[in-house]
Amino acid sequence: MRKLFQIIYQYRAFFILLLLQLVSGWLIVNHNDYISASYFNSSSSIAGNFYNNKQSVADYFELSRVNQHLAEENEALRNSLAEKQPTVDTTQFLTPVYLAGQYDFTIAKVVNNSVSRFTNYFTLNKGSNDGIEEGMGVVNSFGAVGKVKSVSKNFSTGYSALHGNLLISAILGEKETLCTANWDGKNPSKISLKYVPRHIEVEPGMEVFTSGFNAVFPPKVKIGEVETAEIKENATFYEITLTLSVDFNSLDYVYVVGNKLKQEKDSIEQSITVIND
Amino acid sequence: MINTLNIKQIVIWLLFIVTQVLFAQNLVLYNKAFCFIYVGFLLLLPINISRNYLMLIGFFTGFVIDVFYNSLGTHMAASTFLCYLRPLWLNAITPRGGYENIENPAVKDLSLSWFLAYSIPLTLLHLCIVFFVEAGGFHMFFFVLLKAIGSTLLTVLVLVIIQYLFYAKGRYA
Repeated sequence: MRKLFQIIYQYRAFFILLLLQLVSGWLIVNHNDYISASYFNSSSSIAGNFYNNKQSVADYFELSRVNQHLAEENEALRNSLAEKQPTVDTTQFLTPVYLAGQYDFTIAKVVNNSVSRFTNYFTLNKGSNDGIEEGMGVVNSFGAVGKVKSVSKNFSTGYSALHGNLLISAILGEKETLCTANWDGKNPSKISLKYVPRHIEVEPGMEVFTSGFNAVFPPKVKIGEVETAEIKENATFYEITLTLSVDFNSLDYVYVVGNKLKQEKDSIEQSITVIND
Repeated sequence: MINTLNIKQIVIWLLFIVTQVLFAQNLVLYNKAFCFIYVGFLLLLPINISRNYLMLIGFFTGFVIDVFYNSLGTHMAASTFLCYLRPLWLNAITPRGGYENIENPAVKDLSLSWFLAYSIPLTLLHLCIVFFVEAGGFHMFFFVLLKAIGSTLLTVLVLVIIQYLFYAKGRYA
């Protein structure tokens, strides 16, 4: 026994290393891939405030670009409003819940963002006090941006679409082929599109939107346009690269999308899977 | 425990962390080379520091970086391992005169070539761990290795520049 303690004492540096590595390994496995209200990420109050102060200085250098974006978005919204002038008096119809205000949008400022790592995250300056919840989708005027990962009172951290583990349910072209967008970890302006079957004709320039099937993003939020599409001799699915419509290098203001029917949808879908079992 | 040397190290630690999070985080060349100058703090700690303290310092430093990088565990594991290997590597590349009268393994006390031989392998190993853990495996081996090599060169270059600027002879001695 005495000898055992002697050995442990003699190699104590190695045992401390082992212990610390086990702790880090446990954290890597358990705290990175799950949606969780974790205190140890950039949505914590210390890191969030730090990034918020940093961004409030950096804001001054981005004013003209942000103004440009907002003006362009206003223009697009005004145009779509002008196109959709109601011809019938819609007030006399009873609008179903799922059409009127299923989604609500909360504006938030991106205070920190990365694009060139394998797992990219952004930090927003809104948290649970402003009604943001884990799992909500994040979009801006150009298209889909990501998904909220964890929320504190005043800040939230989200997976950017440039995160290898984030799968976005998408539809391709006018035929609305269901497929999945996922980042391969290399180029921050490209994303790859998976599971497009052989019989679909894919051409460069086709537009890809979110499907709206998984209650994170609303339907028809743009993801990007097809840049290259290849299919190998024996492959079942195409290999497609998209040009992202969002410029992740210059994220400024984003909308966090709340889905009022999410719970209802999830619970009804869960009951279906139970029957399947 | 608390004496002027420790306070000086705490101030340097704060400076390195703040610089890393505010500036170096955004310093990315060609989407390949990242700057992780906080590694420099671990590399430049005094030589005679106890190995166990060193590992705990590395562990905590990695933890703080991870909180800001949203990568809990990754930098912790890498920094701890770096701190475990540091004394071994220091022993392996002892200069001819030994480490007598030398406080920090820095350019000012030893030579530039010695510092490069000291810092490049350790930084490369550190960044390999960080990037391979982040990539989640070896499926993009050469791409990740390229990133690690590029980042190592950038990080060491910035560290050398920092030492010529701030660790100049006689300023803190």
